[in-house]
Amino acid sequence: MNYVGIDIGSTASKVAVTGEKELKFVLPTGWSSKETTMLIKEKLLEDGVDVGDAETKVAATGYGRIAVDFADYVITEITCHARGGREMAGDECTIIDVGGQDTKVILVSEGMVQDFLMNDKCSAGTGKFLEIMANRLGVSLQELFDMAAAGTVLPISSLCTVFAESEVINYIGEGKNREDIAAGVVDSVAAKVAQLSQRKNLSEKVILTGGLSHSRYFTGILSAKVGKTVEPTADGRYAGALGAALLAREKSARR
Amino acid sequence: MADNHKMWEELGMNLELHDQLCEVLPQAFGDVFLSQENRPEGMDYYNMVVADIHGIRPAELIEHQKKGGKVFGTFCVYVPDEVIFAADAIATGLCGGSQFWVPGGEKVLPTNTCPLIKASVGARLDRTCPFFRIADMYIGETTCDGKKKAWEILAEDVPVHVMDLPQMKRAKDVKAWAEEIAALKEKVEEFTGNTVTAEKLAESIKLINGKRKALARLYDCRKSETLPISGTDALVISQIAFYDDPARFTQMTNKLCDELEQRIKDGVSVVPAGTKRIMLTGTPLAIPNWKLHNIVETSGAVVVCEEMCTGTRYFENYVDESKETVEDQITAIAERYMNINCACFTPNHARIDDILRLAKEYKVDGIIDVNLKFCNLYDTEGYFIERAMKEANIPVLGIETDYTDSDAQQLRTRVSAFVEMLNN
Amino acid sequence: MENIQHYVLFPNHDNGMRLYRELKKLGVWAVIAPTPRSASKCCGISLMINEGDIDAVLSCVAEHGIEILKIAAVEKDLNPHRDRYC
Repeated sequence: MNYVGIDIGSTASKVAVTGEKELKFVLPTGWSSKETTMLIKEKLLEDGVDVGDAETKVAATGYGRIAVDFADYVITEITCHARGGREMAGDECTIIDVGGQDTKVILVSEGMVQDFLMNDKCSAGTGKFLEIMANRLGVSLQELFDMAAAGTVLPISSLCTVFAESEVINYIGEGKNREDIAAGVVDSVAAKVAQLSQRKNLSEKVILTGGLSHSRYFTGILSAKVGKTVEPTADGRYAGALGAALLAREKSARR
Repeated sequence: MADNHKMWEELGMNLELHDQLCEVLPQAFGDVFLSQENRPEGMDYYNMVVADIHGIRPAELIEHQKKGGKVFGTFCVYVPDEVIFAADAIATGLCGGSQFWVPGGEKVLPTNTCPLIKASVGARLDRTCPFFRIADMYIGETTCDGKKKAWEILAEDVPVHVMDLPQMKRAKDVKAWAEEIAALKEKVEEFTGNTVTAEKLAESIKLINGKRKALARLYDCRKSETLPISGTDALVISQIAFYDDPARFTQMTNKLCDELEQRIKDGVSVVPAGTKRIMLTGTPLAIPNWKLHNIVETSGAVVVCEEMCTGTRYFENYVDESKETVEDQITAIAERYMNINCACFTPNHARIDDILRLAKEYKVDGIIDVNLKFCNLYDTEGYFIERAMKEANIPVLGIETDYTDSDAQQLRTRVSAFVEMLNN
Repeated sequence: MENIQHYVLFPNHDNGMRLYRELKKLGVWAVIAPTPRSASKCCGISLMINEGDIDAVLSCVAEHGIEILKIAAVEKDLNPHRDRYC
């Protein structure tokens, strides 16, 4: 048997397979979740996993989960991230997930979701914000982080991405250091994520998942702001996909 | 229907703009209501009311005006209908629950005003709702800052009388509210030319209590493990209660309750056993705001209670019917209304007690605390609700939303995740 | 004809309610609904009926002198996940 977890995020689509095969890969989501889903299906087939056969169970999650028409289970990213995060951090943990479109804080207790929080209709404190600012500075996301690490924080006080972008434009106009602006941008995202997290009582063990999860630089800033060690995770971007694959296994066993 | 167009034209409505609203209603109503399985037959009455929402009742109100009667538009569950009906006038709820009206309100109000106020102002100024055209006088109240200023804007276009609602619940505040009700009585008497006598007031107290009892009976049915009616259907009944003819509404709702009580006896439920039972708390859901109920009930859960103005805050507690003088009756009315627990009061611990009590009565598995965007009062009070529910081990999900469709997917994710959490 | 829903349309709601009551007496299935936009631009009430009951509905209309505009056949399109509210 193979269990496939597909996490269609707003920026990236993550796939994890567990069972006879163990693999994972990531694709950009592009403009169509349907098209991405087809690409995933083909890629899986190349790797010897046929989502159409009875020996394969698929769980879809993420914002484009409905587009995965061959899924056996459709589960929200909260539940999947919690399952994946639990695999990485144990039964008592808090998962902070900074995604492309939203940021979530999930409290796991005794291996179950106990509480969760998502940012509201706003891109501040999400990957989207970083993407927009990197674009504005004419660099890639990785370059933004590298620059930030070498800079001194310039304060960005606006709560709104659109206004924050104006602040950045002002800094550029004033001829400020790009490194310092980049540091300000990353710091502002961390501040907003921390603000959201602090609405809940975080567990002792806190991990970061999502596209930034491997960045020790980012977890360092975040830790200082929430007052707890936020651990980076090597495969944190796959937390949702891995969780979905594990839930596919558990749900099919229950039947 | 041809008659409607003529009536709307005579009301000075913007027919072209209004037609855009008419265009979306049938599909939305079909998707939300008619797609449900196993609905009670008694829902047909409410189907009718909504299907011709800008036709049947407005025509009745105009008929009343032709006979010399007055129509008062109200926006809040604190405004006592009893006084208005006692002057042979009609009170009708005017709260706007559609995004359709919001841009009209944004022409004059700050964007960060709650959608309910924006929609209400927009419906009047854009001339796209017959009820807003028909009402001879609006009765406002001081339940929040946004409303207080909105009355001033509306008053430039239509007569408005504002009631000053106290914000604390000491004895002197109840007394002050009784004085405000007496002032309303005088205003209504002057405007209608009719005197509010003790007999008339006794009659209208019975009439409105009767409506409350019918709604309480409906909500009692929702306490049953065998759930005879969906939350979506119950919501639209609560919404209609604000502007339908009270006597007819009471009669039709009691008739529906006969059917629901029979369903409970027969074990007929609209959801499979074990479906998680959700209570919504927070800001009102004015007609036609059906988004959250639809999302919850198509995400594997069911709504069994609304601790909202469109819900328990509207019908719980009765006015004492035993008083014989107008003065005593007004005191009794003030006492009943001051028992409503709105977030505009400080402190407001009694609301937390209400929610804990309702959670027990309705056998609630989880609470969704709803805040209409930019309602500071309910948003802030959400902090206490969340804490109290945590202490009582009742899962709670806080949600902020407005009237747009654009957050539907995000809401679906949150609500589904909450239901998955409850099912684990 | 699985995906077709029939609606009786009326010049006003009085006639609609009269037919509704008569059909209920006869035990004929009917649900009051807003007039679908694809059937008519006139808003107001309509009656959803089953295709198999059309003859019974028409004879009821004739017998009681109820005025109707027409019986419209409209593609069934109810989707609670559409998330298009008003």
